[in-house]
Amino acid sequence: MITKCSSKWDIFWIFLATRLILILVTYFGSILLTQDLHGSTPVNLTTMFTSWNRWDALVYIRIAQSGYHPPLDLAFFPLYPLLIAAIAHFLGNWSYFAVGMLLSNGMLLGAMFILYQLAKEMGGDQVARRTLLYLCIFPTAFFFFTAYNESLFILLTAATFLALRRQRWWLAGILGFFGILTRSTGALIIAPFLYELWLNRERLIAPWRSLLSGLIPIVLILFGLLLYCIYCWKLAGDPIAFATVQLRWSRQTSWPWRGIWQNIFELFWNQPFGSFNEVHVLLDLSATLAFIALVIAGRQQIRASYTLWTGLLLFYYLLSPSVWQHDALISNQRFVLEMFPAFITLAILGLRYPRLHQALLWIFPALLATLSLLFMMGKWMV
Amino acid sequence: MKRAPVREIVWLFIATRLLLIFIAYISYILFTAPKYSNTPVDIFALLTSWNHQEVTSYLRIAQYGYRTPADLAFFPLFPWLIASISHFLGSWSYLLVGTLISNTSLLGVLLIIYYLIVDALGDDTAQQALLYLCIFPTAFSFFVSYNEALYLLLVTGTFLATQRQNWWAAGFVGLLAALTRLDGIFLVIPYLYELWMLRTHSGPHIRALLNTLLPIILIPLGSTIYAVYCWQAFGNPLAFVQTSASWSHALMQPWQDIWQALSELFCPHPQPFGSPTQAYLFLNLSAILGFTFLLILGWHKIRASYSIWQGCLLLFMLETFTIGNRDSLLSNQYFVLTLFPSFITLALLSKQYPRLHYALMSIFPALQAVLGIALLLNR
Repeated sequence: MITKCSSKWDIFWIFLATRLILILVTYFGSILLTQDLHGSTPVNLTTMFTSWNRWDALVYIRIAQSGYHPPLDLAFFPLYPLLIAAIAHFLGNWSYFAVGMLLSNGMLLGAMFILYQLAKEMGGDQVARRTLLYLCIFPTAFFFFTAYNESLFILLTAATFLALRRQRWWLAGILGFFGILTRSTGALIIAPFLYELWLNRERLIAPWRSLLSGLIPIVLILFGLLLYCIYCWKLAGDPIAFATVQLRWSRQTSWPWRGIWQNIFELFWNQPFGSFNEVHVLLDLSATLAFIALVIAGRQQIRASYTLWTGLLLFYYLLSPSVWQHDALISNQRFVLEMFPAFITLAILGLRYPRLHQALLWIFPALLATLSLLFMMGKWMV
Repeated sequence: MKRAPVREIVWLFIATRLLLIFIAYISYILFTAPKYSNTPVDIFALLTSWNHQEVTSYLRIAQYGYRTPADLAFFPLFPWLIASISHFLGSWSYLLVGTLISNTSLLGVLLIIYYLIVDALGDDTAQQALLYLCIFPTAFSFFVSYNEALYLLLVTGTFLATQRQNWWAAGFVGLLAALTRLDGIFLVIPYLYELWMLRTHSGPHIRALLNTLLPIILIPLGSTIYAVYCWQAFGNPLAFVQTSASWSHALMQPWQDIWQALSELFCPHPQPFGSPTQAYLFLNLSAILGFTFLLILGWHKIRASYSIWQGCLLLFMLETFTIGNRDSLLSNQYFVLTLFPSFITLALLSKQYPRLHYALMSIFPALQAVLGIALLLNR
């Protein structure tokens, strides 16, 4: 399906306007929060933008620049740093972070075009526009702006879903292959893949060749995982090093309610009012509970395979909480960005309840600016 | 006259207050608490984290009165109101009372602006204008203990009274406005304009003419009362004007100042990229140019007395503050908040251009968060 010209403009508009917000936050934030009002020392452009080079971005850039340092680096899947390296290698050392940021933003734009199609099928143009808007102004959407792999992952998974919707199984398999090379959760896409195949079983089963052309691409996805396992084995002697190193961040398999319960306990009983950990716990817990609510609210509104995908992602993150940290749901506020169908649900709800839409429109950008500043100043880690 | 949708307005009011509280909570703690610790920040410091810049001046005046001539730049009604309540509650209460007065005044402002607009422009435009006012980048000054909300309440109250031809009420509220800020005295001009528009009705009867003209004296009386106070306390009735002159510059054509700011931003003498002066110039200049632009665009769209008021204030602002002076820059960003008709124009424009609405809805709250956090951290 071809995106209409007016829709293209809408997509570009949302993309550019939200980039502008983040640029303004970068400019004013890095001056007003670091310089004295009466001072005259300028903050140069490089300092402004490298203030986004923090936490995982630093790791991705380092991997792109000098390869994996096992074992901890292996938690970071290779496609994103590979793409950065493929371009920045020719431009020189200075360019790695810039390329990372450009890639991240370029991938977001691509993801927006694909998401538009998927959301439009669910509820029309207005739902599609609002889905993109909510995604781009979501409080942690600054991860699409800096050198994180979230945009690439959302691009690849949304594209896989679009290919599945068009019953282009091979293309879906190839995209899924790249998806799993981007993040470990990419493997979960096999479930919605199988579900979509099941929905088309009557058409596929009759000629066995069709059945094969539907099933074999799934192997491609597994092949992606296998490739990375081999790489981990060669580098660290452990084919699932990417999973075992998660212990370093205290992540271990637990009952899915453990993380939620632990955060509730921390928030209401353990943390004194006004502590650093309390804020972390509150934000991650609210993001998790809100997205659980969205999965439940969306199960009748959106395609079942989308609900399955969001549900599986949530389940996966809940199964592996960071049990020895105060914030057991650490990073969930970033992980929820990957659950694009929840944003479609939010858009549908926003259409039904205009007051919700109005509230999100100004609450999200204000929180986005706040968390962006905290990230830039190195006060925030997710 | 249409009844105000009180529920909607109260909802907007409460939601914007909650957001500011939440942003203060997140940012104050994460910026000041030790990383990854269970140690709480000082709760008193958190609760008083907005107590910076002009807030401290108002609270000091409320608590100890005017002590130096520099204090006279801060007009008396707001600190007097704080003092009149906090005096009975104790010294702990000054900041709380100031904040409550500010926020209650804002609620009043929202209701009054709604009444001012709704009959002429409809419910949608009225609510949109209120929304823009609440999410404007410097709208957090309605939340903290600044006099902006009280002043705007009195200004819009004067307009409502003149529109309803309740001249004595308009005069009295105008007097209070003139006791809140220096530019309150300019309310005389829209008052006279509204009278002029009604001249055929009140012209022939002397009594009616007196009833409509006499109250106007009350407005400059507000400034006179303050002048008398300055004379008694510091021996100079115009001390408040001269104190304000510490921000001001020799009178020059308004566009000279704008031109100077433009030349400092772009050429021939640009400020270095990323300097604090450049950032403040950007903020200040975009506020002044944006609101001037809105004045022009709104000229035939909104009530003429509103445009006249806007024009007077903009001229006053350009004549009083230097764009390049950082202290006045801060004041200017708060100052434009009182140009309430611009928010009406903005609402009209955004109905015409929905993309503008979405852009404003995203950019305004984001900038409000940045500027609010800068104030919280006393930057």
